[in-house]
Amino acid sequence: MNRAIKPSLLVCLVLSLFAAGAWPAGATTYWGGEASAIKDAYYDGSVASYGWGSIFDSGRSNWGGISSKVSIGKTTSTANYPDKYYVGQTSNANLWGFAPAYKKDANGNIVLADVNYDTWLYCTVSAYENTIKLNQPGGLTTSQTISSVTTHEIGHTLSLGHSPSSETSVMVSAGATNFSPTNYDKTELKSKWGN
Amino acid sequence: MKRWVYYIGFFATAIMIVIAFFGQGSVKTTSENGSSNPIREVSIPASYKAFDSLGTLEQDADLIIVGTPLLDFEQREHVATYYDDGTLQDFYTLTEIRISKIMKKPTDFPVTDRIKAVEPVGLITESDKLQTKVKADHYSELKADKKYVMFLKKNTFGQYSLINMNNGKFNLDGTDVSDLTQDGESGIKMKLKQQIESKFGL
Repeated sequence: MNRAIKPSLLVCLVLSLFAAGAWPAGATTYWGGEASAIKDAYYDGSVASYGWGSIFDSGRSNWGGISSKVSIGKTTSTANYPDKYYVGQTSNANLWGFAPAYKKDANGNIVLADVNYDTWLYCTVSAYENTIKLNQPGGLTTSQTISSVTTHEIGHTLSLGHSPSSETSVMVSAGATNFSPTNYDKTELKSKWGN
Repeated sequence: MKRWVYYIGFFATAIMIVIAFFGQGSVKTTSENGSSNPIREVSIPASYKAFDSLGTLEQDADLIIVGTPLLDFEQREHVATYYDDGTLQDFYTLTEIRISKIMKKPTDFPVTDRIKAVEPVGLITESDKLQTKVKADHYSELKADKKYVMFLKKNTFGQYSLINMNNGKFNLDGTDVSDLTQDGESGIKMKLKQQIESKFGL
């Protein structure tokens, strides 16, 4: 084989995978994310109103001790764009929570970010009290469902996407069966942020 | 190795790069007054109660219908709610549907051929005064004048809401390409659709 062709083929293969969105990110991590996974979270007053502070505390600490590059502290200040946690209400039946990411555009406006392509300024986490209390997965208590949802949504703020439902993971989109990061989740977290 | 292998690899790469450029990463904007420019779209990661079998989906639904949305997406009622500090709390679209068949209903369901259903997608105006189409977990909205079977449940406000995201509505006449291509994992959507068509004779 021509010596110049072999490297060219390798480059073509790499670019093909890149264009197809399959590399270098892990299968369930976002290409986008915040500049650092060592960050703080601010609790909106709704969290205390519903008495979910300790559950959000657990959700944050669940992602600690896995990677030296990942740590979510708690702040009482909204300065410097910490992540923000809320407990709210939704009209979408069976929706338990969501975690939008935000960025600052070229004009300084804060707008929704594309989780796969943008560098985020911060995230918000909403856990929906009205749906979680009514629509728990079979066999789980309300407290377990809240715990699973908050850990899951906080995982999104660390650029973790949804895991295939075939995996044992707290990051599956559909259903709540795990309450803390599994080995799969830990591997994905480290693939994104390092050890 | 033959030169043709090199050329195939080069052109395949070029094609994939073109596809990626025009794919999900592209952002288009529109002005607030509704000009004809495409709208920015953002999918927000969400967690929800999900079903991968018809039995459990059917059991959880309060209302199962075949119906057709009456209005185009942009003409529907779009709702967003915010926390006290202005942060987005929730979003949805109220989609008016003409019912052609009912397969399950509550005992107190009124005699009607119209219903409004909550879909987990909406149009919001952001701080840059531009509109953004926000959707939960890559949800693809029901399209006007196309026929779907839909699984609905009453929310805590008394409205009927789509459940199971993209796997809670199924285009029946093959005209919604986005619905047909939303089978993201293990063919669950296709499996459900086949079960639904078989059970309800659709």
